[in-house]
Amino acid sequence: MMSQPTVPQLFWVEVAPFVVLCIWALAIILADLFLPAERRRVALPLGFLGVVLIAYLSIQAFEIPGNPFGGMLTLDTFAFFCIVVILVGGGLTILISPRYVQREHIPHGEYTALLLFAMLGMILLAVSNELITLLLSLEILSLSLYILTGIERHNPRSSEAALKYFLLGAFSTAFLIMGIAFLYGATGSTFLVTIAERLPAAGQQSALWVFVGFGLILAGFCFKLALAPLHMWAPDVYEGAPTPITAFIATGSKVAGFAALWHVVMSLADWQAMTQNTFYVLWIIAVFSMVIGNFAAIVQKNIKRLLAYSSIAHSGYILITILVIASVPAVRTNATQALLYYLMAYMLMNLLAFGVAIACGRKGDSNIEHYAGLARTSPLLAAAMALAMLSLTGVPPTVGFVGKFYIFSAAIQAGYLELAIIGLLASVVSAVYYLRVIVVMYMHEPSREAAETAREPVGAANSLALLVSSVMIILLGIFPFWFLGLK
Amino acid sequence: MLDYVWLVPFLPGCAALVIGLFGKWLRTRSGYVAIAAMLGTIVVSLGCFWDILHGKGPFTQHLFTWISVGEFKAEAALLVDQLSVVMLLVVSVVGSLVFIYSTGYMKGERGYARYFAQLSLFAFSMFLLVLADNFVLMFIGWEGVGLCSYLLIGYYMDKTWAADAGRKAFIVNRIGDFGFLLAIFLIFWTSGTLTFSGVFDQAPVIYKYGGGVVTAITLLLFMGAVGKSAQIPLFIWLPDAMAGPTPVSALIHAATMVTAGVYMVVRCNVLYSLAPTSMEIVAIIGAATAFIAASIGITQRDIKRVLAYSTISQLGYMFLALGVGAFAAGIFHIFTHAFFKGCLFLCAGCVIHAMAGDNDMFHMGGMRKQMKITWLTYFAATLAISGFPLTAGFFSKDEILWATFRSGHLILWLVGLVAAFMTAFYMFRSLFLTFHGESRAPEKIKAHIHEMPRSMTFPLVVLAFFSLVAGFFSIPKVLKGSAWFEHFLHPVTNRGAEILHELHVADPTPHVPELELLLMGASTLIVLLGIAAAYAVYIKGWPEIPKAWAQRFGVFYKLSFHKWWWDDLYNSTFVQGTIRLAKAAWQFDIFVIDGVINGTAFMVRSVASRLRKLQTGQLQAYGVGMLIGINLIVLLFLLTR
Amino acid sequence: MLQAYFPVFLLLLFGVGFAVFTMLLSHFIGKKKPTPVKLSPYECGIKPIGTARIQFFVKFYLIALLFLLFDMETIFILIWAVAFHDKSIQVFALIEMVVFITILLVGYAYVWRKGALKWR
Repeated sequence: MMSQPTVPQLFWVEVAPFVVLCIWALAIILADLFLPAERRRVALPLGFLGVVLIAYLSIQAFEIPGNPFGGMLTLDTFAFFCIVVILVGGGLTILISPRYVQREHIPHGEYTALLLFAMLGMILLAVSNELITLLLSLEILSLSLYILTGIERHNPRSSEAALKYFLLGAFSTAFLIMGIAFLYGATGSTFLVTIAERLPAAGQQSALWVFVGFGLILAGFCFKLALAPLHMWAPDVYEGAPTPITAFIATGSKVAGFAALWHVVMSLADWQAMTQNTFYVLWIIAVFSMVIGNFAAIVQKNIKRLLAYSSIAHSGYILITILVIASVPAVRTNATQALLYYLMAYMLMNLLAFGVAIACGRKGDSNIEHYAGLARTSPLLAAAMALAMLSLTGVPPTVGFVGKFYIFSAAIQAGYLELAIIGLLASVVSAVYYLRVIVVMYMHEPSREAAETAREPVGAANSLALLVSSVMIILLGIFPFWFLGLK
Repeated sequence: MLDYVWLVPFLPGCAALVIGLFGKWLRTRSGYVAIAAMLGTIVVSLGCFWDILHGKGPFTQHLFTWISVGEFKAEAALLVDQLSVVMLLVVSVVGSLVFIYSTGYMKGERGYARYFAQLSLFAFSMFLLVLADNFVLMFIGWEGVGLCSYLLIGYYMDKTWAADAGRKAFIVNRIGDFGFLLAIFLIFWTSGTLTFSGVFDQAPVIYKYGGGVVTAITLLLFMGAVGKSAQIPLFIWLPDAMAGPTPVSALIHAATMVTAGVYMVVRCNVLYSLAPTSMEIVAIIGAATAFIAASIGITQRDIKRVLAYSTISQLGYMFLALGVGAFAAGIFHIFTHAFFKGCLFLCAGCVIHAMAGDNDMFHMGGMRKQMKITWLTYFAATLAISGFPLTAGFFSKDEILWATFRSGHLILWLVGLVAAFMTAFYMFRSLFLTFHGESRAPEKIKAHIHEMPRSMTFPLVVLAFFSLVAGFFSIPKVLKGSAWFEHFLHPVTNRGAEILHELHVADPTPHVPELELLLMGASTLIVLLGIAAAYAVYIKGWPEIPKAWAQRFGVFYKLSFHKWWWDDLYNSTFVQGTIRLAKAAWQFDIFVIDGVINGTAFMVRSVASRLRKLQTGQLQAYGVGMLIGINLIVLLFLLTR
Repeated sequence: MLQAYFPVFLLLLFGVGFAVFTMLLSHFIGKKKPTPVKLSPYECGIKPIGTARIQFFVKFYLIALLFLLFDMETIFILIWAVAFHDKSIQVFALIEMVVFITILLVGYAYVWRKGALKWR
């Protein structure tokens, strides 16, 4: 049975982004160890440099689509887009970090290295074509994020969040592994391509195991993507984690998660045992997420919790595309485009919102009321936040609108008119709480304390990040084909 | 000139950008930048008008492909035809005048540059809406207008009521927008395209006359129009919208924003013609709005509120016109209404300025002595809106009433007539209360009353002039006129009728000139009656009769004064309801899930109680919740397979 | 079929036998001078009876964790060693292991520089 081990062909160019990213992160750890304390701040700029380098290497690697690393990775157009989104998100996250890291006395080296490791996990997740690789990259990602969540060691909320995230995450991973085991048991392979090939031959018995396995994998992903009913961890973790990390969890890990889910779903979708009915559960999860996320967000007073619930809702919107991809092959291309575009849009608007939250947050406080009169004290920040909120609401001509438009039109083309209507209604509801932030910023008097104490300067890196994401939110909203035309 | 039509949205857009970026440096100069841009749009609009007039028409300008998914394409393309060019002229001319007026009105206000940036953005969105060649682009302008109105209404941001009014406007508009978006989806779903020409060309083929689909589409579109154009039941935002600076109210009420709904329905006249049920509903809602808003206007004490309800009422007339198939008449009323309503609001701005910010008409009186120009222009515009013979409002309103009557809607005609009486009454009431009689202002303010600077009176004079003469563009044929306006719009507004003609659906009753003259006389009489009544009550009978009447007709007075309790109804049902629902969803998280878990835990407590103590309750609760969730997912997955 | 697992069985037998044998041996030939400390179940000083809420020196955990981590890594080396005899992949496998150990070394350096190994 056991095949002879052979030396896998390595395709250096193709695997370079992953290898180099790993080495880069290790090098940052080492550099941090041996540098004198006052020069350790170099870690974050180094990290950013690394992201740029990886971006360059990725473009090289994706010149020709291929399956390097013993066929365990697949470098296709879809993965390319995901990696672009992840790298943009990672780069922006590093840019919005310095002030916060400085203010909260977070160790620079570990912070940067773990961010890079998390990114490594994400980009691997986006290209992994095999279940074990998928699991491992998911774990690289998750473990890094667990630590990053608790990296504010003096802050009990941060530790609490990390503990919750870790325990529940480990719990969900167990189900994911279980699901993978079922799929392997039923088909005898962990390669998604091979699984897809062997499925038609599967008997009644194995078909059942495939279903159970896929259900478990889906449940595992629902946790990672904070989809209802497995969303309960998200508000606590989002609130407790350091703000840039919250931004990264909210954006990067979702992008990677959806990318991986896409791969899994694609391998099963063409199996004739999967009828349209099969994916009804996705329908339910999407609706639940949109409704619970949007309604629960209305009563939140903390901006991070608000964005947590909003991210649950947005996961619901995005899941619609997965549903369409899985159940209606005719609309698959459109839905995949919608998925990719929305991931980018979602990434940009959330990072912008969190970027502003970092820029005007004071120590340990992210209550919405503290944004009162922000338009008076720092109009540019308020404008950026307003832009993020409007884009999240889905007001044209921002990316948020175009993204929702793509998703709902894909849903309608696939015949899920009711889902589009529910989504639309949900986004009408969402206007209430997004708008409240704007109202507070523009129409409330700043508190005396806020008006008197000068805000600390935003910092060049963060300003750059805010500028870039604002401009991209508008430009990609007006010229969406710039993004979709990349490849 | 048609090739340069892109300049129309581009100029104010650029102005908004420049002022937004360099406002701190421009300061008061930002007003001039904005005005220059608007004057530029007038020039281009006139050029386009000239070309269209000379038969170069309908012209589509492709800018770029905006969204492209599969076979679906949303182009950023501009469409110039008779309809859009009329709207362009109205928006650019009235807009420019409001901009000029604003330089005087806003002098010394905080955030002067911000104001002009938002105003320019407003104009930009409106131009986009009017020029759009497809539903998607129109929707963008539509949303943009809503957004800017929200910003401008909430301009005095330190005042809670202003902020609330802004939010109310936005949310009510979102409800309407939801309908509009659904309609767009339905159109795309059924016709596979979203360009106006594409949809309207196919419409007679793919939609059955009176069929369910086209009725649903038109009703949903109308829902959007109801939100934007402040009709029943979504009109509640407009009276509050006067919380913004007065020139903004003038812009919103006269030229932009509220007319968008009417414009959109006219643009889709092909679809509406195919859906008689929808037409009927449009007409009924229009007439009801005209009546209810007018009845509310009678008792309001705030001068801007009176004008706001009059706008709603006039918009009701426009929808009445559309509902009975007189699309050109609706647009004509937009055209004339833009002038007199703009004039009225700007006058009100002058009055309020003179009264040092007091809006209450019962504190005014006798202001004609100090403010001659304002008084005269207000008088002219009041004549026009009341429909006094030979003024602009006379021609446009009469055409609507005549069309209503001719199409056989006798009850609606009657309602319209009564509303016309009320309009004349409350408009002259406001005129008399404000400018005539003895001054009731405190001494300190009385000394302060003065005429406004040239920059503010100039727009008044221009608008008042147009209020008196704009009607001559379309003198009806019975009065030996040429009905030029209707004729000009014919290619656009008659498409629906043509289709009906092809489908052999009944033609309206034949034209009887004598009857038309008779009705014209009747409405003239009604208007004069209204004016006389106002004179009797507020000049002769002041102050006893109004008081006595308020008591004698207590119920009606209260009904009217409290705006039919419409706001309160909404507040106690929808607003509270949503808040409760939101709380419920949140509670769902903390109570229901916890409850389920605790319930489960209770059953297995004997086993679990020791384990429970090892972990924090919350985390364990999450864990059990997750377990339930995972089981549900897997189970559902197996069940539905 | 089961025959293939015979060596495993032998190993099991040997392992259990060795443990039992040494314990018996020490029981029979060792001197017995019992003191209270010696008789306590955990000779490292933790009281077996009483409240469980006592304070450990946190360094215990750190060392234990580090030990576990690096111990786990050696298990990978064991599997690697089994496959190593295959000639066709020897060079490759060697490089792989060098990479693996280098990464471990980075971790070790980290632990070392952070002072986690110092008993303070």
